[in-house]
Amino acid sequence: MAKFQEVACKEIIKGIEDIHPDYFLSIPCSTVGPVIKHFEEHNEIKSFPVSREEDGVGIAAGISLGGKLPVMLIQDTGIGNSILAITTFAQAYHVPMLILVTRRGGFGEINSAVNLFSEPLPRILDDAAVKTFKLDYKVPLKEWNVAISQAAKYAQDTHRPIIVMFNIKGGAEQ
Amino acid sequence: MMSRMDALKVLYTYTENIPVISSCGNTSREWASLGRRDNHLYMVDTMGLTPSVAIGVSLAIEDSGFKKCIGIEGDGGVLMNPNSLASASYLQPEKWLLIVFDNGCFGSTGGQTSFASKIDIAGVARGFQLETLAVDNLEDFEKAVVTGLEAEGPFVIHAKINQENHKATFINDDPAVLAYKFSSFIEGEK
Repeated sequence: MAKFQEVACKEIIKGIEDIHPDYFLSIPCSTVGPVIKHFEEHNEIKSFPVSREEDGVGIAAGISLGGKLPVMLIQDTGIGNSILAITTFAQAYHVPMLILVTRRGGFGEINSAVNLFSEPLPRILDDAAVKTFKLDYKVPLKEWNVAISQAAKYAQDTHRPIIVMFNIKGGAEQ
Repeated sequence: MMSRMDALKVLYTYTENIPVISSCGNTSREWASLGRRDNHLYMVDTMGLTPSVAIGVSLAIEDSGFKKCIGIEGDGGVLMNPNSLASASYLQPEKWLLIVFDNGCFGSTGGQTSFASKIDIAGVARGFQLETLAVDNLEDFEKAVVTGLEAEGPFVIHAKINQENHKATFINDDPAVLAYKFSSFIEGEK
């Protein structure tokens, strides 16, 4: 039987492909490695890594302002590196973009420091009024691709950055 | 040594139909005081992000008729986000032209010393394998703008300026309106 992570990655790939983005930007992440690999080898979607999430938000915002569609995939720690760019640029200038965020911390996390940012992150995003949808074990995996593509449309329709955060490790809510 | 305003006046004559993104603080204020244009996006915050945004716009307009997308940043801003130089080097956005006005200080906040007082930004850009011209007077700056606009790949102009600030009105527009005008211009010209 396929592991939760494998199925989740397939769903995330399907969700992103359904959006038909022009560009896929990413920061390396082991849990969604198959997703990044898939788009690195994609024939139609231009894929590239970003040096740091703040730089990535700026580049993605520029792509969006220039009339093309970006999707960015980062770890949740990267929100810490980019929250100013997300709020005072993407949000303030009404630049639509979808930011996919993998959760760190919680059960299965081996890093003994990252939880100190990952656990309060949902509250930080709520306080900053950055609209975030959460995918975890409570949402059936077959619905994840639908949620991702709907989030991209929601970003366009509401003229702002939208975050979809997913806990790909399964298990209890963080 | 030229002032930023002197250089901006020269640049203004070359950018009637070119997307330009200007960094926050005095740079955007002085730039806007020359005359607002829809193809000019004025940053009101997020210091250091301008080169990154310009990379994104440059990628998006690669197949359009625009010659370049210009980002205007200060020395403090570019050293706050040198990652953008790494990205430009990696991505090679052919329409990206970055102009760094270097007064060796944080001019908008009272002239506090910046790293650029001891770091050669042109050398940093070249270290990232970006084609770069360094200038310190108006005549050479204009030549560099002409060269940069015709360059086939990403290009950096490192322009040394004095610490003079011109008094210009604050930009308190709704950023959403600024972005809408900019995007609409690009969409209309594509």
